[in-house]
Amino acid sequence: MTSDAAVFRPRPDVRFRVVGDEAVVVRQQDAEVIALNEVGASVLALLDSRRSVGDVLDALLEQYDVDRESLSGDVTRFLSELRDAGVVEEA
Amino acid sequence: MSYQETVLRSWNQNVLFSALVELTYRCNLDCVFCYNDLGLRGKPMTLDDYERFFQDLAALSCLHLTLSGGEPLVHPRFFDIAAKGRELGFVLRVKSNGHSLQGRLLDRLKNEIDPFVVEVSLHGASAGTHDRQTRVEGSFERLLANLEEMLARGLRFKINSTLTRWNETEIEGMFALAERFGAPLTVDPDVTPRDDGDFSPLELAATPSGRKRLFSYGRDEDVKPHGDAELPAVDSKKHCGAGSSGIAVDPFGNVYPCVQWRRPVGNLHERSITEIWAGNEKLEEVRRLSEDVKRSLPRGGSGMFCPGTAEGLTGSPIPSLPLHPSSKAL
Repeated sequence: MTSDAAVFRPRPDVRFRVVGDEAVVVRQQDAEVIALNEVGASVLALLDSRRSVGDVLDALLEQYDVDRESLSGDVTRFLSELRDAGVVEEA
Repeated sequence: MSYQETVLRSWNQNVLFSALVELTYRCNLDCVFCYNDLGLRGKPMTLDDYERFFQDLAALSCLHLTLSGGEPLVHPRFFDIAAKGRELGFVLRVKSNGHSLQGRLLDRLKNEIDPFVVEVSLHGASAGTHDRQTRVEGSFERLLANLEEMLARGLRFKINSTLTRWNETEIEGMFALAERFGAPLTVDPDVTPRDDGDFSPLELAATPSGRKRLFSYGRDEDVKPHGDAELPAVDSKKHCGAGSSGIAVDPFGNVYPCVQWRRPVGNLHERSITEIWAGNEKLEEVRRLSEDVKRSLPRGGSGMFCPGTAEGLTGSPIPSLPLHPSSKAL
């Protein structure tokens, strides 16, 4: 379970760019390219080694009209997927 | 949305996604068929110029940055420039002849830059052929030793080659060498004129039988058209991403649609890439021409045709019949 105090960052071999309303993520180690949708791109762009998950939720709540509880569940699941995919790690 | 769809969108909507930067035309080898215009003069780009340029590229959503030359590693500020690229989150490629990739320089490249891939040049499967083309004795043995060192240090690399009449009989040996290193080998089937319009490199162009040998031996992905096709092929109304999703820049800040299409569309000393990219009749013409090229080629075929090379050879980027030699139809 990811707590609101946890801090995530992209792994060192990860490069990404937000292109329009999506993100293109390159995992250099495995030469793998992943495309993320608009919300995924927003989350990834916020993971900068400084913001906690709680800070990320606050920032997303300013962008999207959604209640915090359901957003928190979605973001937690998404971070877990990104971690499993080797895109992010806990700082 | 898939990566292919993103690339397709970059072509169709002119999203600058890939930039190739020639840092210098100086080189520690002296390849017979080098295409660089060694007589080109201008105001060199400084580290500050590159920093601004890279910041603009990042703001335009550009992801892929290739540092090329000449030999980029002989640029006195190579590591400072490449470090800026890393800092700004580009997927970095370094196109090198591989001659200096050893020892401390290799350590610095791995630790300070961590490129996605280093692309090195192989000119033959034997010292006689490779050294004959590079005109530097011992360059073949040194390259092989350097590739061993890169492999040992975990640096990702791929091998590029240009088919010539000197190396066309060694194509199987070159693929075997690449396999020995576990690296992909991409062979460009065509020698091109020099960027100053000098056709003399074409004297080294492969023979029809040499080209046939390559095409019958290599897989489709092993043989590539000219230019810097780093992105996957997509089914667009345009023939290629030159000037639509990609650009090339020479050491003096001149901007071109592609490394192969040397039609200047601006200069970074005069205007930022953001300004050049946003409103530029020359660039718009290139984008229109890319659609014309697509319409003039057989449907689903001739992906090997390069409008930039065609313009260099004939003055027109539009294919005429019979198809340009870059066509895979032999």
